[in-house]
Order: sequence, then C-alpha cells, then structure tokens
Amino acid sequence: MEITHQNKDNYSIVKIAGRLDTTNYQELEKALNGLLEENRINLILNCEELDYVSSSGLRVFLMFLKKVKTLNGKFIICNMQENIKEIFQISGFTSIFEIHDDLAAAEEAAK
Amino acid sequence: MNKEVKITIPNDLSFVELLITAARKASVLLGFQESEIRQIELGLEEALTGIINNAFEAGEETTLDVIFSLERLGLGIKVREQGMPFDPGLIPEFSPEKFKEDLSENGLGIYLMKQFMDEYAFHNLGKEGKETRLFKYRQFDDLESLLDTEELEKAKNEREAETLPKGSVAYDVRLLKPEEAVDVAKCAYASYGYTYVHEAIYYPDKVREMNESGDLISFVAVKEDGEVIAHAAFEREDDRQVPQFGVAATKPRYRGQGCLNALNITMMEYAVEKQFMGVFGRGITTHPYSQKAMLKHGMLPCALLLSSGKERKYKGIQQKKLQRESVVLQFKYINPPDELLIFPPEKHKDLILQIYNDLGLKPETGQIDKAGTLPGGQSRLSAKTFSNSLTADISLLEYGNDVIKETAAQLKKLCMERTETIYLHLPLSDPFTALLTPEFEKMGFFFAGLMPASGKRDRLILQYLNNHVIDYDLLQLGCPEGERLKAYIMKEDMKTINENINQPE
Repeated sequence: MEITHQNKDNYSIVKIAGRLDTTNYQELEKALNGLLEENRINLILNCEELDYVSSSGLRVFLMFLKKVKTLNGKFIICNMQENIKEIFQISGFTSIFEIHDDLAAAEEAAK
Repeated sequence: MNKEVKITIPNDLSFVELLITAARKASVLLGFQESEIRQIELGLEEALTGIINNAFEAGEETTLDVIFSLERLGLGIKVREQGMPFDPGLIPEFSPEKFKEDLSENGLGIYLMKQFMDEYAFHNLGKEGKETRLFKYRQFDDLESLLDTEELEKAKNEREAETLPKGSVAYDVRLLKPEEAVDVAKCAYASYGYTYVHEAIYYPDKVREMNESGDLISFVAVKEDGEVIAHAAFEREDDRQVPQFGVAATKPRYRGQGCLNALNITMMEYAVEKQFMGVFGRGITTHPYSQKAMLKHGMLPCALLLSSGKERKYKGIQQKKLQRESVVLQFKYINPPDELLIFPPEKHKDLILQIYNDLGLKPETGQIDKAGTLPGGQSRLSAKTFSNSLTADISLLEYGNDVIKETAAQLKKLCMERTETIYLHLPLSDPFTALLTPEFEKMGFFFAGLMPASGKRDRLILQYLNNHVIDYDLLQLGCPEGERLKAYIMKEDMKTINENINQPE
C-alpha cells in the first residue's frame, strides 16, 4: 500500500493506493495520526487507487472519523471504487461518512 | 455430504491473511460471486481479529481452530478457541445511527460480522471453550428469474383460478423428481405468491439440493399430464430421525381434491418404511384446520408454542383481531423407544406424563438424588435466532455450575435484540432439568410442552414472552388434548405475569 498526502490551506488530501488490510492498516493509522498531531483536522481520503479494504481498514476509517469529529474537524472520503462502495453500503457506513464521487466535490466540502 | 476443512493457527494476527485466502478458495469452490466472497473475507477477518485481540491474556501463546464447512446451501465457518470467558450479551449493540450520536464503536465487531454474513452465532462450549459460527448462503436463481414473461403470467393467474369440482381430478402421489423442482416453486407461488415462510421453496435449485442432501424429502401430487398440483415435504434438521411435516402447497384450482391428505398418507408410509423414530408438525392456532389434518394421521399435541410467528391474515377465515401466531407441536411415534427415563420437574410431572400417555408411551421417571447440589464445570448452551419469526431457541446442551447465570445472560441479550419469544429447550434425561426448572421459571420462563427426540434426547420446552401478552381467546385448538394444554399454559402464564407484577422494585 502506498500513502501520500498533500496539504492545502486548511485541509489535507491523503491518497491511499493498493490494499488496506490486516498487514498494513497500522501504516494508515500512523499517517493519519501524524496529520492530526500537526493540527490538520480536516482530512480528505482519496480512494481512487484503493483496490481492497479489509475490516481492519474499515475500523481505521471509523476511528479517525471519531477522532476528527471530537476535534471538530471533517473526515471526507472520495473516489471510491465500486467494490469499496458496495462494502460501505452493506456495512451501513455510507450513512456515517461524508462521501463524494470526486476530489473536486470533496475539496469543496472541506473548505 | 458436507466437506470440512480444519486449519489450526497460532493466536497471531499475521496468520489471519492465510485464513482469508482459504476462505476465498472455499468460496470459489462453492460458486460464490466476487462480491459475496469479499463479504465472507470481511466477516471472517472481523471474527479472527476480534478473537485474537481480545480473547487471550497478554502474551499468551496458544492456537485456535477454524473449520470451513462446504455445504450445499453455502459456507459455514466456525472459530474455536479456549480463551477467556466472554459474554456477547454484555456488548452493546452497534448501529450507524447510534454512532452518529455517541461516536461509540462498541459492538462494531459483532455488527460487521452480522452485516457481511447471513448468520452469526456465539456458543459457549463449557470446558471445550468457545465457538463463533458464521454462515453465508449461496444465491440461487428464484422462480421469477427462471420463467419467461408468459410463464410468470400463467403462474400469477393460477392464484385466482376457480376451484374445480371435488373429486374431479385424477393424480398420483410420489417422491419429487429433480426436474420437477421448478414446478414445486410454481405450485408455491400459485398458492401463496411470495409470502410463504419457507423461502427456499421459491428457489428450484435449493429445493433440488435440499432433496439431494436429505434436508428436505419432497412429495408431489402429479396429474397424468405431468402438472404438479400439490407439494408437501419432510424437513429434517438436527434430529434426522424426527422429520417435520410441512412445506405444504396446493394450487388453488386443485383445492378440495384431497391432495394434502393423500400426500400425508404417502408420507406416513414412507416414514414407516424408513423407520423414522417419529414425525411432527406445527399446527397454527388461528384456525384448527391444519391441526385437524395432522390429527387424522394420529399426530397429537405435545407443546403449544405461543407467539412463534408474525401475525397473518388468512383468506376465508374470520379473525376477530390479529396477534402473533401461536403453533401446536403435534407428534406421532413411528418407532418408539422400548424404554425412556425422564426427570420432569415435579410441578409439571403429571401433565408431562399425560402427554406421553397420549402419544402412546409410558416413560419412567427417575429419582433425583442431587437435591441441593449444583452441576460441576461450565455449562454448554447454544442460541439460535430466527429473524423471520423474531423468535429464538436456547438449547441447554450440558448443565454446569454457571447455567443460571449463562441462561439469564442469553435471555437478556435476546430481549435487548427485541426477540419477541424465546424458547428454552432442556434435556428431560438430565436430573438437573427437574431440579433447576423452577430457577428458569423465576426468570420468567413458563411451561410450553415437550418434544420427543431420537436417542432419548427428549426435551422439556419452556417459553418466555418478551414484553407482550397473548389473547388466549384467539387460540383455537383442534382437540381436547390441545384444549387441556392451552388451559394449563394459560394458568402458568398468568402466574408468571402476577409474579412479575408483585416483585419488589
């Protein structure tokens, strides 16, 4: 899995590429924690190249949504592939997260 | 026959991916689609990570067993471990709506397992540890996807067809042929639309597979031109020697031709030939007709299960008001045991012996020499919920010194999950059933009846109504034995209600 991020004025875009599973979810946790420590509390997760998310990955998303909300920040997800969208739908997470189809819409929501 | 694969792994998260891969391979073998396979992977991963992270002491190195069961209907997965005691009843329920309010992720694991899998259950195996069970059903083509527009229209029109004159139709009754499975689905559709509680009947492949495995033994009434006009079947679950009469459907046009009676006669002959121990059926109590149909074949009441299904309107039946359906269990011995030793609770002993007497058996009642003692070791219970009927069965497999606490915890969990009625199945061959039934009754359970079983594993059944009452005037029983059972159960139910009212705050 590859994680990159780009800081904008008052939000950060975190791009995840590859698989997010039990072997590497802690890397995402570390990356997101790092941003929160820098007081970057408005986060966009760009999932355009995220092929697979395990339940550990879903947990990381949920945990960071909780952390960000506690800090009065925003946690936005965008560009999910169909298979990931389906998992979010089945798990009921589509009603918990703010999800956008593309990055432009997500950035607009983050401002 | 089901195929099982068992893999034992250390309690180490780095082995989870190995099992996810195995689950994927098993799912592919069973013909699951990719999105279903993903869900199986997620459900299993959640089970394994939850267990490995939470079930063991820090630093404890041990193993857990994962058993994949490749079955006709789908994939079963059991995770067995001997970690710390766990009570899922203490875990609050997670929901997305609740999370939005309180941001609490408590209960997320069980929630995700239930979302991704079709069945989730947790079993305490006593000294053998604990078991988490998951099941994913295969998707089968249903009737609508198999029929063309014309055929589907024809099937819909059958539902409104006028009944033919009595005795005007000639037919044979025999076992189902595999190629007739779609006709069974058509028969059910013509009879009930898509409302029949046994959903499997609408899936011809499922009907065929269940007949091949023996989970279902289907009989059909067939006209000379090959049209299937009625169906009934034996359903076999855990007790293969005591099948249930059911899954009955007659096309409206052919009602009044005696099809179900003819099917039942053939099925009884089959039961004798196959030397089943007995047969049973469920007679609804909104009207007495299904009870009387079974009474004709010597099947007598042995239990009255209150509030065992959703309320239903019946065509042509006057119903003063609707309430959840209650059913009478009716039973007939085909090959009764030569002898049977039971330990009924003293309070219900007379009625229990009377019920056996009605069924043609005279069991011996054992002396209880364990008064004042509790069983040793840990108890083993299993709980199964039925989302269609909003009921649950708690089966006591083995008494242990924590049986009261464990049963109370299961009851509480099921009540919190809004289960309407909970049935408690106790082994009549165990002296502790006689001793401890009063303790279960203090929790609010009351008498429902008994259920004979092969291998002398007869059960006493108690029932618990979760915050609702039954209007007994609406229950119609088809025979004096049924009326006697209803009167007794009503009295027990009233006692339970009064005891709850009079309990100190």
